[in-house]
Amino acid sequence: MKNNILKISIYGKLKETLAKKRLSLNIIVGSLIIVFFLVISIFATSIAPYDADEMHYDNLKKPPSAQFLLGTDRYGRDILSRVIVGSRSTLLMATASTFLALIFGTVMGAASAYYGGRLDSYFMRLNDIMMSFPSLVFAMLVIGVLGASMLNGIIAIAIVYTPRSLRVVRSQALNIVHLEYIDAAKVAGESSLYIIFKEIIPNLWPTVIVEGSIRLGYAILLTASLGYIGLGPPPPTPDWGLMAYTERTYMIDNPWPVFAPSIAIVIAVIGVSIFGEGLKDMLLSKLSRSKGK
Amino acid sequence: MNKFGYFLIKRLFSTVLVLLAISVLIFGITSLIPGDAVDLMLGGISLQSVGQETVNELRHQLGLDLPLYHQYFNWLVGLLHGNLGTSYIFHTPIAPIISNRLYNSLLLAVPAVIIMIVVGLVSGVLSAVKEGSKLDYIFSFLGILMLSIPAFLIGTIFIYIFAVKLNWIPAAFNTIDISSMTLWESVAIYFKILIFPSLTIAFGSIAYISRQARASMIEELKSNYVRTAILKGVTYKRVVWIHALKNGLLPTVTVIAFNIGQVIAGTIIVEVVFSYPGIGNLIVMALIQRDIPLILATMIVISSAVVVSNLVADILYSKLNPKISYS
Amino acid sequence: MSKHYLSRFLKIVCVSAMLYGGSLMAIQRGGTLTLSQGAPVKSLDPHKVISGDSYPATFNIFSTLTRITPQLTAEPELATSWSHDAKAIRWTFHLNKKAKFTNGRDVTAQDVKFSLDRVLDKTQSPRGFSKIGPIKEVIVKDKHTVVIVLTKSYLDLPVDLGSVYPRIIAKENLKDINTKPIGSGPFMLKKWTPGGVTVLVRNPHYFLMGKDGKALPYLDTIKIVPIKENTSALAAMEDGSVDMIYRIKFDLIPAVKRDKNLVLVGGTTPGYQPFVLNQNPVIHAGQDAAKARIFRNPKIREAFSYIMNRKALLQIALSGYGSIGNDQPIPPFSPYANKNIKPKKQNIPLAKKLLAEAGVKPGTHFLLYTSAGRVGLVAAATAFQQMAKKAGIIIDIKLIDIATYWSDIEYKVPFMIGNWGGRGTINASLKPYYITGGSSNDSLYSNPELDKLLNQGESESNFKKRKAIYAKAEKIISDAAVTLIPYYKDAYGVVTSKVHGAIFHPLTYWYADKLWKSK
Repeated sequence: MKNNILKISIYGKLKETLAKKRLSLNIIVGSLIIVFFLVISIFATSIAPYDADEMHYDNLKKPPSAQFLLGTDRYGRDILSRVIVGSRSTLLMATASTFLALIFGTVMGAASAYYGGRLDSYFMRLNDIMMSFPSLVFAMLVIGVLGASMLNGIIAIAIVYTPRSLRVVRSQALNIVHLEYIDAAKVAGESSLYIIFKEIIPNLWPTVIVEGSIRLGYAILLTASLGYIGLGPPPPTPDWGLMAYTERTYMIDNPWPVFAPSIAIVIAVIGVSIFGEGLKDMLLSKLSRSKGK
Repeated sequence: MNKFGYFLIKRLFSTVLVLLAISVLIFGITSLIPGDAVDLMLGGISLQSVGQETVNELRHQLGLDLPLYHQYFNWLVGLLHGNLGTSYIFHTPIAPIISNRLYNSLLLAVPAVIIMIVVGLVSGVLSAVKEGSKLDYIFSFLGILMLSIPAFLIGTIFIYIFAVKLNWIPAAFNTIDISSMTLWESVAIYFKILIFPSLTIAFGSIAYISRQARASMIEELKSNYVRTAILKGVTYKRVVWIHALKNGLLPTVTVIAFNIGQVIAGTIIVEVVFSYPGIGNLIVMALIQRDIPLILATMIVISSAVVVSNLVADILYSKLNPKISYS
Repeated sequence: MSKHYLSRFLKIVCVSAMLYGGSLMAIQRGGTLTLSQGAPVKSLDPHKVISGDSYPATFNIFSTLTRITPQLTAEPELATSWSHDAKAIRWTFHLNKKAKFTNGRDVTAQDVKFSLDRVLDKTQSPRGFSKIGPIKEVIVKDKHTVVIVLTKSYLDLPVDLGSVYPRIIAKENLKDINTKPIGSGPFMLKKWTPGGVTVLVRNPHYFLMGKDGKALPYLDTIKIVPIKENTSALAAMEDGSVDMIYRIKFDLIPAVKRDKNLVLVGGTTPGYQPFVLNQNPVIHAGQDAAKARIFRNPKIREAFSYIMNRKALLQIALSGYGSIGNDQPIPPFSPYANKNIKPKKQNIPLAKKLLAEAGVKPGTHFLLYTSAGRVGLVAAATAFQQMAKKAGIIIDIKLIDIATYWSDIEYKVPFMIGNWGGRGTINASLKPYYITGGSSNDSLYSNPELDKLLNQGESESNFKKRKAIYAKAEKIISDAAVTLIPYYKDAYGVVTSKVHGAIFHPLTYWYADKLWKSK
């Protein structure tokens, strides 16, 4: 009974803190995780205990030990090193593709909202068509054409996510294009390009940032999935998704080659998505509040 | 004609146009894939030994020397007659291959959809009823976790526990020949084995539905009629599970229908994880082997499924929701 | 139940006593054998098969005039006997009069002519036409006699006629051959799910006799299931859902050996994995032609050969399951092997010197294509990369998917690793691979002297003379160093202890008619 009360009071405290600082807690934890992965991938080769591609022929498929903290794979490569260096491929692909998709999605979305009419309806029809494919399927098709590699993976994911970003940005932009200051700019004779880039897009930042951080989480998952079905960077590149697939065969000897990169993916996605949630609460709720006034 | 009928016709018409545009897009993209059936046939032998004239002859026999628009037209006409072409790797008509695989995939996906609806709705409603409670926090944390775990990890964990460690299920499912089973046999095998990939497919989508259900239920529970019902003496449980859920269901159903693409993507990954002979593994194989007719056929089947389910969701939504204006 | 069991037991005992005297177990008929292989059966048309994944189906559905024994000689299948004229140009084959197709029709000389003519047609069998001997004409002498006229004398014809492509098909079956094949082999197709399970059942018309005096095959049904991962297939063997694995990865052999219920069936094969130094690669627009043709320089080829630590390569690529190679394809256990060609020992200083003489600066990059689709290729490439580093050159490895590897890379790029299975005859092992314009000449090598020797060897009928000719050819190939062959592969399959009659075939052919399963 006493124990129970204690639990409840701790829980109540936690709830209180959460209620007060909910925004910042999400952001703090999220950004800590993001910084962690950033540091790891930037300094990957110096952090990794071994060369990720080096084969230790006397230690094939070894379980974790003091020498190899997560064990070795079938070629005797150090799993820990491969997971550390593998962060580069997965995170780079996800970040670069999200970034590209955001740029195209933002520009096209803003233009679509601003010009309206025919351009808008063309964009939206094209969007409908592209979105008739599940994102994984369309990315697979694009990679089928371009061939499996890191760069092509980035292009494929960017193509898949552009319409999705476009849609989000456009709906927010539609709220802006009818505001007085845009009309004022038009009357003042500003060029359309000026209005789109200097008047509309800067006011879309909160939406774009939130969309970007949410999109990034999906992009990591999609990158990993593509790697898993063999359409990501080819072996022997250390890539989380690819490792999880190829090392599955030897799970009986040592499951870490499969689970370590998978867990890294989960942590990275959680970090990015709670950061995104935090941002959303902070930026968009403020925005809607200010709009409310 | 009434407003709904007009809406229906307009919507159907635009669906046909979208499908046509999709077919052009798929054919266009696929035609960029390097290599064709003849390259596949001749892989491994030197061109010098067969001679260019043999290559040309083979291309001609397969109609690969025709202009692209002509090939597209032939393909489209075949498609309208239910002819999906002939696979490069299997040398057999594609339609029976796809229907067989589709059946296998549906055997996983349909129960998965049911699981995700039931679990998603129940957890969503529970969180809504106890908004801000411990349970709500746990569910929302679980939701983030579920959305962050790639489907292949869940599948691999299942395989590691139930196949590698416990030997309950096979590590590769393609030994199971579902097409030669009776309905009852396949139901039995489902509950013994196929439930694992099914659960894996459902896993990620549960969180989506749960979130949506929670949001719409919170709104419903604050509405006037719920308050009135409680004042009239209807039990809270009844209000939640009958009245509020009925209304809260509408946006949730559309979320499900619009997320059918998500389910398909999940199915592809899960089939690869479990080596399951469904349409997902077929696409992966077609892409890796560059079997162009098979790529075309699987892509058109999948995108049509998404388009049609969106159409159904649209129609359902407008039919169920009297507030919508048919614009 | 016990009575029934007893009577059956007694029957078995009697039969075994009659037939075998002392042998431990009598052949038991019936049952289903489940075979696991890495990829699904692709096409069923035996003249068009692209990959070995189809062989377990085509070999058992369609029969051939002869069969190649594990000793690489010919034994009768459809042909009961054969003879040739003094020059070995005109051959006569007598067909088994009991042979019937699965639709009940007799197999005739007409069918043999029809089938062989189809294989000889480049557009019908682009892979098969060059692999059935120097055939000029196939003549129907009477219903059960076929005469085959060659362009030159050639003694290995019966062996070639038992190989992958020259399988006998029924004319009336041409349209449906891929969905409802009609053959005269020991089994017939019951069900085929493309990409999935293939089911073959016993052909009641089959004509060869088993050891128990009744017609083969012993088994009722064969199920061929594709299981990509060997470990999954092994797990399936544990629970009894798989009886046989076509090919097991070398690093799993120790695990199989530990298991008392599993039997390893395997040994040496003439298969190998050459590092191909292409003499005439495709040069794309804007590409540096001189750089692409760099392997025309014999010093660089020799240097690459000296870079190789063959023992280490064999260890890394095949876990040691193979024999050391000497840059030509005839393995040491072949009767035609030239024992005087010693495998080069790794010699980094010499390699460095040769590279310097050829003007290759330290730090020069070479792009090596390979694929993860065949066991050993990636490991061999990565190991070679490490060895080349010591000689001061950098090997960049590019991995291509196996499905497109043979169509996009082979014959086209300057530097790649190939993968060849062994062939049944010395002629088939050398001629297509090294003669100018040969169908498998992946280095696009051309040497008139070698061409002459290969043609001479083909039509030589005296073994001693023939061996001398091929010994010269092997020496030329090895010295040319256009295909660096560090090792010859072994091959292993696995059966459960209940499967009997599984015999290792060096060409990894798989005849299922004499397999049987104990209860």
